[in-house]
Amino acid sequence: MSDIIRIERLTKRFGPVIGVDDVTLAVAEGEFVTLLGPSGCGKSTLLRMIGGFEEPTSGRILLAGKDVTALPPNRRDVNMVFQDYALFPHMSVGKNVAYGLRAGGMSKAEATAQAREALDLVGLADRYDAGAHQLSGGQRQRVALARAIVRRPKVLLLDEPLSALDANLREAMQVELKHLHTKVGLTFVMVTHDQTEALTMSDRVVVMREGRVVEDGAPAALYEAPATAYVAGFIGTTNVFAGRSENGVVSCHGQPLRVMAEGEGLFGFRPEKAQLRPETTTGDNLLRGDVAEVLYQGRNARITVRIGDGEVIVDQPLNGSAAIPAPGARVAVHVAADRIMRLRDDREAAE
Amino acid sequence: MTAADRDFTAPRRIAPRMEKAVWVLGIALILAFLYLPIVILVAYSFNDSRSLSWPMSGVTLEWYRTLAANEQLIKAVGNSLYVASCSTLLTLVIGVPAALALDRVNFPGKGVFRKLILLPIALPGIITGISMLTLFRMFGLNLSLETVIIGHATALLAVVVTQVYARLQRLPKSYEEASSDLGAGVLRTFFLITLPNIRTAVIGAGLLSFTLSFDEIPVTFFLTGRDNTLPMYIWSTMRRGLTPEINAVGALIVLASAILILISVLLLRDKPTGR
Ligand SMILES: Nc1ncnc2c1ncn2[C@@H]1O[C@H](COP(=O)(O)OP(=O)(O)OP(=O)(O)O)[C@@H](O)[C@H]1O
Ligand SMILES: [Mg+2]
Repeated sequence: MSDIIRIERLTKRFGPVIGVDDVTLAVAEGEFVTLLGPSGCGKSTLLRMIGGFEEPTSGRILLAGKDVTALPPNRRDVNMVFQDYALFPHMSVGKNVAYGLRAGGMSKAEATAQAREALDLVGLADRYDAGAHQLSGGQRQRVALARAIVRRPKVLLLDEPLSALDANLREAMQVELKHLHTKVGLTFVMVTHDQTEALTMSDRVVVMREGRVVEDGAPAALYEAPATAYVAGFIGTTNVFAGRSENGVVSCHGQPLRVMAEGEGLFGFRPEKAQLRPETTTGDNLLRGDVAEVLYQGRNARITVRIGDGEVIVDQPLNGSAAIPAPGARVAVHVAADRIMRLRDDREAAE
Repeated sequence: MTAADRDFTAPRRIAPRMEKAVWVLGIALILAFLYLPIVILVAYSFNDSRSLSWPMSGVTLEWYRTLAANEQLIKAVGNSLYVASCSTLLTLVIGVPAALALDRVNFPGKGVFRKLILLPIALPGIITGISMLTLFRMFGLNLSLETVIIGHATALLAVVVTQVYARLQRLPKSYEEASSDLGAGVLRTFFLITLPNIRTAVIGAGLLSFTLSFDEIPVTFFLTGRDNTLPMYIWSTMRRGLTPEINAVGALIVLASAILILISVLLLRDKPTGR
């Protein structure tokens, strides 16, 4: 099989607290997988169990087909980039990178040569002799990366590798990390709580909640067609409403909308999939209401429209042609039937 | 700056100057309180009269000469060095792993273990001395410098554990995790990663232990056999009155301490870290 990691029914308890709850997951070789979820949902714990830093309460971890559940970190063919980078403060940059090679019994000359090569890969070839404390945040991050990939592990684990960087640098490093993934061809498993980061960087996003995997898929699939209301709300923004669809028509805050799905439950649509129309427009799938709030967001305006007893959000592109309505104006919101998603609620999702 | 500005600011400069003088005076008093006795001790060790009267009548190296000829005293210094070195080494060998266990390992009864290991620091030396004496008697061990070493090591363990433990708590766990992640075993991680990062605490605790052991009397009093350590020797000769030789010994100890402090400052000169 080409699954490099197989996680089977993995659970971790900390006394009464459940960190990770019965997670089963497979990662294919060369894949860039992101674990995404709110704070405390167990992302780090799951990653640390793969690395060998936490002992699972139950379940198995297989690495390239071999059961590594009971092995300590130094006997697993994975390497980790720590959130605080954990560069050894008493060693030079070069010594940091060569450390893993030397621990593996490589000769000094060979280790030095490979460490230089790895530093070259992350663009820090000239900082070999610098002290770890003389580097900027972004440079430290690169050294931590070089130190982890120089050993050519089967899997590279990254725990919020970009969270310590400021916004501009973070965006630049996202691109660099993605390039590095392509260049070295290793399997990456990254933890983040930043949905944009997860969407832009990964081949596959695993959304977690309270220790469990809620949904798992390619970024586009998760964004365009989330299965649960939770994911629809966590990744991007979604207008969610409850209703019962009869003969392809559901009531949204008291007004009829044609949808593709049948049955009772949650429905939703993305703000950018709806359009504002003049109040006088006639036709199907129009929700009529008053503009409650207009937020200027540069590329578009985020407009909240009060519909009956509820509200929907619409993103109106600001390309100069359409005028932005003022608060209080009567408008119609158009949303096509095939843009309306049927979403599972928590109860359905658990089944 | 214009003349008017200067006139305006001039009176305000006097106050800080006075304030400074008060500070300097205060600091001088504190330093005098700390070091005047030592200065006097060193000064009288060169006094050419046996009486401790001021002003000194002249300068001599006589007392250092008699001291160098005093075999008992030389022996006592040797014993003290032996006891202090061995007990320091012993406490470090036991204390550093104990601190590591306290900080890094979870085991049942950890809280109790921690309190028990720190307890001896609060015990008066007399208690340690008597209880260990009883123990050694029970096992039929003869009292010697080695029993003194064991006694000192017990009393000093708390010093080493507290200092090293405090440092370990400030050391991010991720260093050791990263080392292990990079393929290093437990020993390699300890010697290449942990130890260099707690080095200053270990050296500091070692020097403190050495000093404490060097001038320890109560525990030594109970646990020594026929051999005398330096403080015991001084104490016994003191009963015959304060002699200038004692001042000379004191001056030499001051010199030795100064050298020790210098060594520790050199060893502890940390490379600047970014944190
Ligand atoms: N060593 C520990 N002892 C006790 N509880 C722990 C421990 N580590 C984690 N937990 C608990 O397990 C749960 C999951 O923690 P984890 O660190 O995996 O969350 P996370 O998803 O990484 O969150 P964050 O985004 O804040 O880092 C939390 O409720 C946390 O309190
Ligand atoms: Mg975390």
